[in-house]
Amino acid sequence: MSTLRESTLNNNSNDRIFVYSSEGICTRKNRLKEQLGFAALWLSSFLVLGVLLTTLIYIFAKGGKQAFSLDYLLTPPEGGRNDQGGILYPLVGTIYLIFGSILVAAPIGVFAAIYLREYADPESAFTKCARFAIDSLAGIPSVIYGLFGLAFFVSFLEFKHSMLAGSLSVSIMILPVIIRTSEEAINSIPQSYRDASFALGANKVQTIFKVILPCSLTGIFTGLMLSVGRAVAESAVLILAAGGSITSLPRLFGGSYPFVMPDSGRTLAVHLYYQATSYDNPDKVFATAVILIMLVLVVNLLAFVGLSARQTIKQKNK
Amino acid sequence: MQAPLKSLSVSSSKANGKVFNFVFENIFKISLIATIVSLGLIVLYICFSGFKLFDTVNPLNFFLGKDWEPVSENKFGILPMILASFYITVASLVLSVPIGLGCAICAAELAKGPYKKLIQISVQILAGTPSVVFGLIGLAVVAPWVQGLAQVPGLSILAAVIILSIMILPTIVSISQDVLQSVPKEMKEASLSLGATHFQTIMKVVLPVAQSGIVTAIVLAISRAFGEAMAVKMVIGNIQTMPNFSSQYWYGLLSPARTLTTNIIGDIEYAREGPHLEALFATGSVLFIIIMIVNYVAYLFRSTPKRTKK
Repeated sequence: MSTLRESTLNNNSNDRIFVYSSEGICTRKNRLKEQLGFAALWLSSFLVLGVLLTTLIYIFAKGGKQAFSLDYLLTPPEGGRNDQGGILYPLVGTIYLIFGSILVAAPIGVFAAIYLREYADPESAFTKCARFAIDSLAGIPSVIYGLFGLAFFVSFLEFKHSMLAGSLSVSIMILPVIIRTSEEAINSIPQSYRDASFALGANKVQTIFKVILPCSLTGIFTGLMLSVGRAVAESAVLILAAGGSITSLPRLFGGSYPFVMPDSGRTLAVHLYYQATSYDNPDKVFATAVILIMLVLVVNLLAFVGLSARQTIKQKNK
Repeated sequence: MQAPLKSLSVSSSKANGKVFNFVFENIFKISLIATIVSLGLIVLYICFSGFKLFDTVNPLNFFLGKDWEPVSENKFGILPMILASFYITVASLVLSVPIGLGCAICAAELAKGPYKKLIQISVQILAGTPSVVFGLIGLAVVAPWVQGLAQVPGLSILAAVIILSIMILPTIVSISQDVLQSVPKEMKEASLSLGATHFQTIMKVVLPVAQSGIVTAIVLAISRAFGEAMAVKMVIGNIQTMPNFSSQYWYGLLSPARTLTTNIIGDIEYAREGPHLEALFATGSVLFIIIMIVNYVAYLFRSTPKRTKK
């Protein structure tokens, strides 16, 4: 540390010595450097906060009024490009998407996490392969999921452009989120709980369903909420796999193949995209954006509540 | 935790339990296998649909061709898109890494109490915000601003870069902050006790120790920027010609362009079965391969053990 040596050498010269907050001795030059550096650091944090705040305020100021009227939420869209109606159909589509993707992804994700933590040998090739798959799935961009949905669900399984194809594509996309958070939750359960359960005569499946799952429930809940957030925010996958029809209320069940959610539909995010790029009514875009942001915020807040509940449980255990 | 244990029935016969154990172990295993299979299916479908293109189109013309005229002239060149994708990724990193890293250091080392919480919550909100919302901001605010800056159409690479750099901020901030906070306290204290200032400690001790984690954060941000589709599509103009890299156009920043991701999103609406659709899948495969390489690099950095000097 050359600067340090310099500061001790300078003790005898005219340079004054500052004792800086009892953390060390530094010269005026070093102190100036420190102040400049810290100013830059604070500035960058202000910048990040500022960007977020201006974005939120701008959107809420432009669309808040419209968004908080039930009228906008509960009327179907009409008027085509002029966009005179509300967002009832996209709202229903979003609900379908949430339930469709979570109902598929949650059991698979949680069970996979249980297998990884309770059964699998961490050194085996199978486990390593699974970990590689989970890591890769987490890193694939959403367009690729959309293309896959288009090739596999829409064309190969002949679901056509439907909410079902969109939900299934999204459910693969959120799998890694669910697996990772569930695994973490299961991992934080003390071994003594398992030992206690076994000592009482329970077998492995009983232990998993009556001790491990109930104990990791808050963690799993956090994971589910995070993935709901991702599903709600997703648009590319759904444009490719679910189409963008908005003319009628999407049905939940259909008489013919593929039976469940057979209609093409939009979610709020997709509707926002079309409103922003090809509609002529700028006010409504911001109203949709407000609804979408609120939805994501609420979901993330729930995830956060789950997370802090888990931390308090952890502290109690200590 | 006692409640579930009390209600636990121990009376079930052993044979029954064995069957249950076997059945459920396999259900759990199948779930994990399903995850692996879905990755396999994705690779299979994207790449096979893409490679079909090379039956009719010369791979060289695909990768190095400058013209994309899929309907009228059967030309499928994606070179401009590859260049544009790399260009906006690098440019948004240049903008985002210093700010993001600064914010992370501020949150980890300087900020205390409510301000630190505020930064963390804001970063979480930014991370959760849908990409279409960023695209909307780009359309409503950034593009008109670029238009006023220089007399050009606002939809441009610059607008995309600004929006992208906001979008990758949370990735950089949250991961680097975690890493910075995990630097052992003893190391910092040793540096401070030697007389170094807090700033010197950050620059010469904390940052070098957290190096590999920060690189991971940056690489993940690259992967996110490279793969982002919707927000970029809304502000980049999506014109398939080569971006104008002349100094008049601020070395490309002011010219509209098309990236690999926006090519897929933009053309899929009218692509017919045949070479056009195959070309879009081939574009997807190129994107997929590049992203996998980037993620592998991130994985390498993550798994490198931290160097601890004894």
